[in-house]
Amino acid sequence: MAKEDDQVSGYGEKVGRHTTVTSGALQLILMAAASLFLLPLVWMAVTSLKPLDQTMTLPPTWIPRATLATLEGQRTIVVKEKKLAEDSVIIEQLGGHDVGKKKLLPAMTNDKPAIVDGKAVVKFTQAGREQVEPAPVPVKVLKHCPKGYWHVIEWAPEYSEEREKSQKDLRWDCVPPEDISATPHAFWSNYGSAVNRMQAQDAEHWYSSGFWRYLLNTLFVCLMSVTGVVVSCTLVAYAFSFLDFPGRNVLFGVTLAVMMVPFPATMVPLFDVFRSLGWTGTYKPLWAPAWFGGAFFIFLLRQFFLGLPKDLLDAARIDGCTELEILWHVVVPLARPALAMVALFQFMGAWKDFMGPMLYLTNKSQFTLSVGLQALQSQHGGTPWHILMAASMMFSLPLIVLFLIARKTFMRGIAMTGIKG
Amino acid sequence: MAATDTRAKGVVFALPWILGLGIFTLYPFCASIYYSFTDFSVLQAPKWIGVTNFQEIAADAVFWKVLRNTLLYAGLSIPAGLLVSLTLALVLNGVRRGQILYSVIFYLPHLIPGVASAILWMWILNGEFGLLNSALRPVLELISPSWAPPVWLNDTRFALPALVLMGLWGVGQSAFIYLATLQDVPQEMYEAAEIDGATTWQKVRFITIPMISPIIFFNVIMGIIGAFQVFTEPYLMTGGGPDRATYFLPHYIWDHAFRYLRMGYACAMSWILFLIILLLTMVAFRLSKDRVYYAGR
Repeated sequence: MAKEDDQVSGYGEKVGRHTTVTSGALQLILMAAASLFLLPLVWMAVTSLKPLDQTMTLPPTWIPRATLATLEGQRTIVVKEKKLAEDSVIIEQLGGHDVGKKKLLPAMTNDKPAIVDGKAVVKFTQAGREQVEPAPVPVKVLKHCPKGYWHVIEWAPEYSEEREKSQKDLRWDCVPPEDISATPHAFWSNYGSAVNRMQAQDAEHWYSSGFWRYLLNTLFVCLMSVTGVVVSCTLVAYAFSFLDFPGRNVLFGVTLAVMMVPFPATMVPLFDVFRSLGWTGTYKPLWAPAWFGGAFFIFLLRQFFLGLPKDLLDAARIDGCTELEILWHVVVPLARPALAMVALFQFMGAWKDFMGPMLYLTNKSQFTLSVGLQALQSQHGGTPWHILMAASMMFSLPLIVLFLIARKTFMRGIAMTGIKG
Repeated sequence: MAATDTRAKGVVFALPWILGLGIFTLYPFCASIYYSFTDFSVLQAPKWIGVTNFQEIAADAVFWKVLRNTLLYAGLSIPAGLLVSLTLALVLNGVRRGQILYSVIFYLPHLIPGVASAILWMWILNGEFGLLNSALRPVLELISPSWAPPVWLNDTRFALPALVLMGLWGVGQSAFIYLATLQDVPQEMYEAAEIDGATTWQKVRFITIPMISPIIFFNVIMGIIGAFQVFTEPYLMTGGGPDRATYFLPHYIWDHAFRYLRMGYACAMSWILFLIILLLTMVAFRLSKDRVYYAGR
């Protein structure tokens, strides 16, 4: 989009000392503004690669790090559970419910040693409730942990089921603070966790529920509505541009006017229309209307078609081509950039749409990514931010990639949007 | 080829849109007028009740609060959006190097789907660990040790401004439209002004702004329509709260239509929404008469 002439700024200034200063200042403003615009996106990416405990540190960290500690002689990625506020001991239980289990006990309780004659009062969990053993059980002291040591647990990816399964087997220890170190580490497993959390427990195949299912559903809706919009709007725009028919100008005026109608104004009766067609609970309300054209795209294509050389069309007509042949062999090849633009805009709109899927899709296995992500968020509330950010990244990245690939088509289209003023 | 033939073809080609316009826009639009005067839940047929819905709306305290919220949101977000996007475009137009890179960066937030950006901003605006407050806290403490940043979405005073702030993140699209238009302003005009000794500011004020005023006007109209339709973000981020501080008209209409199944009442409100937009658009047209410059007219 930069003009050929590099010597002149957008305000017609020749390069000189004065303009170098101005343009330096402008560059600074732009850099600051660009950082502000990028920051939330970077924050989303950074959070998506953090372990849970690092999402809630103050001040916030910009580089995801792994916490390392020595467990059974190996440097292992761990989660810092807590800093010991009192001298403690790690014991192995020789009796009671949890026989053979390793536990962390405070060395003193109420100013008395916790272990008397090799026995200690321990707690155990039964049916989800923590209880105290009725009598002290024999224990073996494995390690003394002075106050100030850290209780660390081996880190495990937070796949919901797996975590429950493996929780018992996770290694843990108490280590002196100097044993703990941090190293930059990207927790890509958050992405796997996000996918897993969306999966239903009783899913038959990988594609029958959860993220992959939502992705396929979204792609289906996108494909159907993009095809519909491109086909229908091409036909209609062709009629508006090259075919004279009664009421054409009135119809075009109405087409422009309906762009002003806010969605809430038609929402309720539209729902009633789809309901009486028996379409609620199906994908049809999301893609079928696209096959009947869209005001904005028709307008955009008409603008483009009117700019095509009319001689070509007349020549084809003289050669005896039908209108459909002219459309297919003359107009479509020339209008490819405009058609690509319409397809891209529609794809983005269908991919992002939230209201439609929320209103019409009743069954969880029909969800698109936007309602799937919303379900994930409301199901877990606001805590697993790293997982939510990973899911949001997966939902947003395809559009960013698509935009970067088709940047020129995109930007030309946006610029054209403004031409109608 | 016979003229009637072309005419018939024209109708055939335009048929999808004639049907689509009728079924998916004009019929619902007209039906909602009728429903406004009825008691209607999807479960049973609409029953004519005259202006009862409108009388009830007039007495509905929540409606007035919601309307006030919506107007406040529009009143804040439209001027702020205009200011930020126009400034970005004017600055962008002043540089040659990195113009494409910058416009891509400014456009990126617009690509993030509403649900994803809602979740992202809930995280950024989080009172305790949010990025915004981590940045604000030290600054506020520097001014006065007793100052603490607000909890944004959980504070009745700050939830709505927080949504406006978030909306500003997505102005890249209109900034880009402005930029494209700025580049169509004939260079000769600037050169002529330069000969007359105009400063950069004078050139912006007396050449650039008038020349792109039709697009500014267009964007303001689109901004009005957009601001009165805001739904996804407040719906997901605050659910209209706290204490209905971010409860906007589209959300209220939605709740009446699909939660309380009072479709007639919802339609009546949607008509009020439409009339407000229409009125504001007409006001904008009236105000623009002397202020918008159309080249060649």
